[in-house]
Amino acid sequence: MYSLLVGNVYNIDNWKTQIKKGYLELCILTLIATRGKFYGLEIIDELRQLNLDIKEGTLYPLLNRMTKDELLKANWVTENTSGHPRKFYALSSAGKAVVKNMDEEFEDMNSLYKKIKKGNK
Amino acid sequence: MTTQPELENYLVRLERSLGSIAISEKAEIITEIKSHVLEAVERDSTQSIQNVLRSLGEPEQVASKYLLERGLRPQKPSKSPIVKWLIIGFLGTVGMCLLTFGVLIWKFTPLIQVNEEKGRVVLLGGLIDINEEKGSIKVGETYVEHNKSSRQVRGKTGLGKNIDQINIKFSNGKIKFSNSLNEEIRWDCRTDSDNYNDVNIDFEDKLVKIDFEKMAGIKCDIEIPKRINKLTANGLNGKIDFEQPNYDLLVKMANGKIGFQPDNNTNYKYEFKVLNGKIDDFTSSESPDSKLIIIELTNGKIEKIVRR
Repeated sequence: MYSLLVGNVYNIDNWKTQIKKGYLELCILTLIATRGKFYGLEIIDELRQLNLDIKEGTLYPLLNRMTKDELLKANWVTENTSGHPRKFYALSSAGKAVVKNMDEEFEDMNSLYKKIKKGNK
Repeated sequence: MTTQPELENYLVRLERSLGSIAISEKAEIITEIKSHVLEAVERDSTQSIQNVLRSLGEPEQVASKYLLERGLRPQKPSKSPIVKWLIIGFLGTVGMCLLTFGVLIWKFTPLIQVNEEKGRVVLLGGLIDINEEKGSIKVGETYVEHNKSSRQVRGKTGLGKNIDQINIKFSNGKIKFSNSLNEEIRWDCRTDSDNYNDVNIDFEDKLVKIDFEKMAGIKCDIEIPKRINKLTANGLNGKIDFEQPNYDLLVKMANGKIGFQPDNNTNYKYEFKVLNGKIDDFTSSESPDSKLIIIELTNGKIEKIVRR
């Protein structure tokens, strides 16, 4: 059975990594939904401003997979002639439906958690 | 636009580590990472490319995340050149050893061939050839076969009252031990060796050591006094015959043939070890007065000589 115990100390970082995986996916999709389109560095900046630290080496593979799963659609845009191209991400129609489902699921989980917490007081 | 070598190097490593991802998708990933680095540096002029790359993580780790996200197995990290050369060196050495071993097996196969009728024993694919019919022993290219030009080496030594053990050493040759009628050890040898005077005799408390090792290819008749309790013989290759010994015997030889003619009036307890080869039928006695006959031979034959 999987254990988060390292030696005799409970490793909270491992737990965070586990719970963050789905949560991060939801946050990225929701963020993109709010403004319509984002490129990678913008997503990192926005999330960091909200104190949600995400590593570049984690974000890009995640965006790549969600694009492959057709939740996102990507477009290369070169905004000026001397600059480099940026890859902008937007939600696909399938992505929009998935985000809606994810949001509902997350809200249900959150309210259940709050109920449990309240009952314990 | 020129690109920093560090960035190029990073992208090359990333591309190599992306494994089975389709080439067009790899190109897309590389372009996006490159775009990210340039954008980050452009936005913050205090940021160096090295810092941005460090923040991204090692290219192999980033690639493994791309692969894991797609349910693909990340590539094993490539071995450092030192480890690579160590592995190549190790495998090379093992290969050479196997090759050498194979050649030796091929060269020395069969290990032993015995022709009972002609009394011939051929060892190690012909390296040692003992031919009773011709009366010759061949070790490598050297024949222990003496002609008129061979030197005769004769000697004898008396034994003090305390001496009851004899230790004999030789390298290659043919030696016959028989019983002496008097109190002396006598040897009558022929050799082609230039070291014909090099018979070394050494007395210890109850022991006399006679060393023929420096004479290659000897053919000797050695007479052993009857009152001796123990004879030890150590040799490399050849043939040794024991004629009706009345003493304990310890013989160690690598390759060859050892003939043993029992005395009908003496009991013997035999302990024979032959790694590759044959042993004739000997009947061991459990009588307490039995003479202990220990013979250890690596390759060859222990033969029973029957008195006619």
